[in-house]
Amino acid sequence: MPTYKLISSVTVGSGGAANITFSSIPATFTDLLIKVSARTNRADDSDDLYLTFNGISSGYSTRNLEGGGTTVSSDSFAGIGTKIGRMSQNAANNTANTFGNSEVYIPNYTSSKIKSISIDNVREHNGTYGSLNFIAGLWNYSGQPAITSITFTPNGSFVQYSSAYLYGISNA
Amino acid sequence: MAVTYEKIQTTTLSTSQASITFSSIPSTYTDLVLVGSAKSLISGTDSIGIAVNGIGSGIYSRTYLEGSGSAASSGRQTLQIRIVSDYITGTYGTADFGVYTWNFMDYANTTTKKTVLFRGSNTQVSGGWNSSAMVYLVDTTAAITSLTIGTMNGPNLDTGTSFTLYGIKGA
Repeated sequence: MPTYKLISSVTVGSGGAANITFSSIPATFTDLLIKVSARTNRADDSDDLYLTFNGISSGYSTRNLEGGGTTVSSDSFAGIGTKIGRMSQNAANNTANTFGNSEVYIPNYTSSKIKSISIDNVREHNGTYGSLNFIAGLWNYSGQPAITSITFTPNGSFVQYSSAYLYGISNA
Repeated sequence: MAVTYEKIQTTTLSTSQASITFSSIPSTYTDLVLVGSAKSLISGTDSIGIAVNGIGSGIYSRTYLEGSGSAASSGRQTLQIRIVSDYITGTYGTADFGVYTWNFMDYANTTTKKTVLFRGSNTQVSGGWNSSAMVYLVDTTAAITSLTIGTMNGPNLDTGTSFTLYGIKGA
């Protein structure tokens, strides 16, 4: 059995999209991996992409390690316990046709334990701003439910050709 | 379609124990990926230590970059006795299992010393969080045939700790 299998993919059409959701995720894998390529219509130098599970907006925490090209910093995104963030993506003020990229790894997504999430994120556009993030996320929600749906939401809206690929990884 | 990402072996602890060993690793892959979800039985923070081919002498060095949630830092350590991860969670508070990944590059060759890349996301409810990235050098030209995974400070890995070793085929 292949250990690394595509479950579902989304590519945003010409009308854009407020979010990208994977629902009805099968419980037959051990871990999940999502690869995201995104740009939004926010009129700014970047946008932030957030992650929630099962349509629930509580129980989240985040630690971020960021390199901006000249400095390195770390923060905890205090006050955003309603989601995991922030995955910095390219936005409307960035060089045309450039997209940010994120890789989200979720081990043991069906377990009844607290969920830990590891995220690598990059944003580059051959311009003034770029960033690299290593993010540790946690979802500690009552009952510790299995993850059955995943939603990515930016501040703006995803533009056409933004995409996300959900893979299941099996160690069975 | 050729399968390029294959599970070699997986271990999930049903009882706590001192270490997990993946031995007789085949040389038929290009790279290895070790994915762990781990917790220590120590009452505090700990680190994972990996011995390559059973070697526990100072052949390991590392350069790390880590963020605690309030500060970022980087440093180097040489002559270490294990491939040492960043912090993992101990048993205090409502501790959880972090996410740890090691990439062992060109592990089967017998002419070059081995480079290892690490990403750690230690997410715990009560303090001691961090997100980290590291690069290691294992000062041996021998092919990697076994990995022994344990804790650096605690007596045991906790029940529920799991490690899976994958092989990546480049051809």
